[in-house]
Amino acid sequence: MRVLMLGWDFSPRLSGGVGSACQGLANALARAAEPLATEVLFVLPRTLGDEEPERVRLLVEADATRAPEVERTAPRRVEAVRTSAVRAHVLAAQAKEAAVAELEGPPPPPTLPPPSEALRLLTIDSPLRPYLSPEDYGELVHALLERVRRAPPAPAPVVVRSVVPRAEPVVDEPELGREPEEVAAPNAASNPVPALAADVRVPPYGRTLLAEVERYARAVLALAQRQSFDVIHAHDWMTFPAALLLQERTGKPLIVHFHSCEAERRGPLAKADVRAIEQAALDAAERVLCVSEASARTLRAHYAVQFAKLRVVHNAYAPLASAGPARKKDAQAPVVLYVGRLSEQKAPDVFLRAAAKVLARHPRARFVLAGDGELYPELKALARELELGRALRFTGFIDGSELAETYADADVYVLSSAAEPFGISALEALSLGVPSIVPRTAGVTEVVRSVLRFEPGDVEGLADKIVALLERPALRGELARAGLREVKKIRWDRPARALRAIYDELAGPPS
Amino acid sequence: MTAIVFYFQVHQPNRLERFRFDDVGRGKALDYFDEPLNKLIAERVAERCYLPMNEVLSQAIADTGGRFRCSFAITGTLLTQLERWAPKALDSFVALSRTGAVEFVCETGYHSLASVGGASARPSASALAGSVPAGDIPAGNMDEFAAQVEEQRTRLKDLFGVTPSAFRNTELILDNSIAKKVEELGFTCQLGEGVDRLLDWRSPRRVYRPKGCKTLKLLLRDYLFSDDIAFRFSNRQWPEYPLMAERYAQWLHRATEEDQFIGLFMDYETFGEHQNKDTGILEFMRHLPKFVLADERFSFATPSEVAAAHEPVAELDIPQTLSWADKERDLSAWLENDMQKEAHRRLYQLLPRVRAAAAAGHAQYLATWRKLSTSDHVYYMSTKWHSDGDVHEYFTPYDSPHDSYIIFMHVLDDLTARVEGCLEHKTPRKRSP
Repeated sequence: MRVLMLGWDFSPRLSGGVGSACQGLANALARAAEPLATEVLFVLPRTLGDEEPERVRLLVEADATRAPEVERTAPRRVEAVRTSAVRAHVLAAQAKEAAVAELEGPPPPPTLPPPSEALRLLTIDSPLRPYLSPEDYGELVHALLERVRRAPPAPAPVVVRSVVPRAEPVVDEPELGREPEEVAAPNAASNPVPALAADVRVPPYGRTLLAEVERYARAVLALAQRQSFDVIHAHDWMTFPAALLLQERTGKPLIVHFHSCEAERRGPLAKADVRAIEQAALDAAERVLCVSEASARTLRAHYAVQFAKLRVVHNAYAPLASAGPARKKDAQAPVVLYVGRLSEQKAPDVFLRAAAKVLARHPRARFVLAGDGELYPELKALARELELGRALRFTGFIDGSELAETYADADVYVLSSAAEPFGISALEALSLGVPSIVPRTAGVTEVVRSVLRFEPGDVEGLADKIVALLERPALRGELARAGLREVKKIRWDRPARALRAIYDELAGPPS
Repeated sequence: MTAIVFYFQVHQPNRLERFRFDDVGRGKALDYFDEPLNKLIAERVAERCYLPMNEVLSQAIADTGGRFRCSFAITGTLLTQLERWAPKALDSFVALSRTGAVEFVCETGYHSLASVGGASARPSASALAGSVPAGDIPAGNMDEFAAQVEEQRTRLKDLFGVTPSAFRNTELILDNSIAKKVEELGFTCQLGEGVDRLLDWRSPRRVYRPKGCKTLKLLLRDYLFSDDIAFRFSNRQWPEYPLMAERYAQWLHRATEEDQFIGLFMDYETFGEHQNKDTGILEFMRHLPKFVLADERFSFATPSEVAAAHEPVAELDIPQTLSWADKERDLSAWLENDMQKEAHRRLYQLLPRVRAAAAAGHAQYLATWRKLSTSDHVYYMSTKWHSDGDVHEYFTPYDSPHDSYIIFMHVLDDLTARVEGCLEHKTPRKRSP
């Protein structure tokens, strides 16, 4: 069985929960033992750039119209993007490492195929990221241009690289429409783009997000037509046009996987053309996967979905390597943690408002927001308005051991989302023994019971739950112990088995 | 002659308002209870169960010329609710008491855990893994137990005209020390659960005497026959489904001369509420008496009648506290996890202060405290997800065990603050007459 998976970079920095899910599922499928061993051809967008995985910071001058009195003296540094183009072998090594890290105990028995053989990563140069909004696309491309301008001469405009470590690297340069062209940043007025040096060739990214999604679809088609596979499995809307094209050309069964739908991401601000793409995928796909029953209900409420196509495949999590709490937990100065994109969907403002209520009762409590995103300036202003002062800390984006330590240091984890199809981060927090509070409607409540739940948007309700956790050791202990016990059973193998069953159902039993 | 002993537990708790931390010290004094919800449930249960089932039973008594007999334990919390919201249902219980065929069994009026953790009560070592660890059960208060029993005894006498002589503790919680206390309080018989690990090879169908008692007689529940009605009756997966009264009577008729009685003890809400009337449960009970009485070796009797008719066949040693709850049949339904133990401990720590306030003329705090002592509050906090979690979840009005704990503790904080405020206030006034 070979699946062509149209997914996302495994880095949560670039892809959030979808990235974690793609990594977990692809690895679990690839390392499954016979007869469930599944080959994964994993296609993902990556931006072209230099070979160093360095961190790129984008400087954004304080926008005078948005938050007039915020830090006038120093320009605010927003870590808006990180466009590290990681070399193929780095990527493959990461996948391998992650797969090894996921296996507990002794090294895998020799019957397990090494992930690099069953899991092949194919990258296509594109700035797409799963949660990119049409509005922010221009800004992102602008940032890329800035980066390219500073970088030494770049290679060819479109590079499709196969990263099979054992095979010889294949470098293709298919004809993909237009010639390279300059892309004008839409917000050029407020953030003037310096003139490009003549020797810099700009990749022909689409002018708008939708144009880029379309261009990506054609690039995927060009790449995948030469591959052989049994099923197509596409994650979230930006990959759906590519998947639809492939389905049409190859006649292979199509599975579309909704980690969130436009209605969940943007609520009443949902974009009609994004919804149209999602609806087209729902119509054409043989199977529609949702990450929770709750998300499936939302999908059915907002789209026309054939009930018989719909399947729920709950997410899981990969254990984070943590050396345990870095600091000694201090009951007098407890830490309440938020991890996630700073976006409307995640409702960090609800977290801040609840923090203000908790602080009134526990002045020594500390609140940490880990993550970055478009709401950062607003949140800074809100924090000032709520007079949170030094009780609040923004860490910016963190991952790896830094994230694990941040979790482990926390006394309470809060997932404040307005709409949360699943909420993998709650599983991560629980796995490190941190009691968690999640929205009542979050998909994660379908797989764990040892979490506190609050009504989305209910600031007082959230504050009440935080206060309860800070003040009641019996409750903390119960949730930490029972939570840990519950998440131990939740590994990516389980959803991967469900996926494999669906592949078999559509493509026939393994030959 | 084998007696069929029906005993029905009739109870509703006072469910709590969704109290939040910033309500502590701010809300209306002692206004902790979700009265609209409590009213709704009391009215619904009265309509679905108490009224129609009382009608079925009074008809059965009339049809058999008083040969059908049964017993009830109605908690004080429910009696108060019926007085307020379903007086017709209360009247129908009073009407049943006038037939002379019904015995009212006494208990703590608040369905509380006051008797738990008495002198010799030890945790059950044989309970399933994950159950209450040894020496870790927070104690109740035996004086409070006696006071709650006394209050209920007086109330039953006033309402039904008879001083109760039979006793059942909250959810049949029982051990040697509780039995001894019950004997001291002047009861002649007590009801208990026929737990396998207690009885071993012995029959639950005979009268026993708890170790350390001189006069008290113990009647145990026959859980197999009881649960046929209480749980399996409406289960379509059960091979015996649908169970007819005639067949059930045939099963009962297999009892021998050796069997002094068969204890069919269950929630009264089994009839019409836990199993709704469409399951045929009311019709089952309507027809059962005549099928049972068709064999003249069988009769119906109340617990006190059975106790009067038989001397104990043996002494039973009950060092570990037992109950009829969950698979474990111990205290783990109420006092297993840390939340439950903490809530229980805090509640009983507050008791001396509440008593002191009552002694100073502020009885309202004690009255509220007693409503909080109802065992349902800690039952809702149970985190037994796997086996009996569904049963716990069926009864709870809260979103989760954790929520019920949070709300209960906020309420306890509020009550504590008010009691302490009242006691501080009182002291200077006393000094300056």
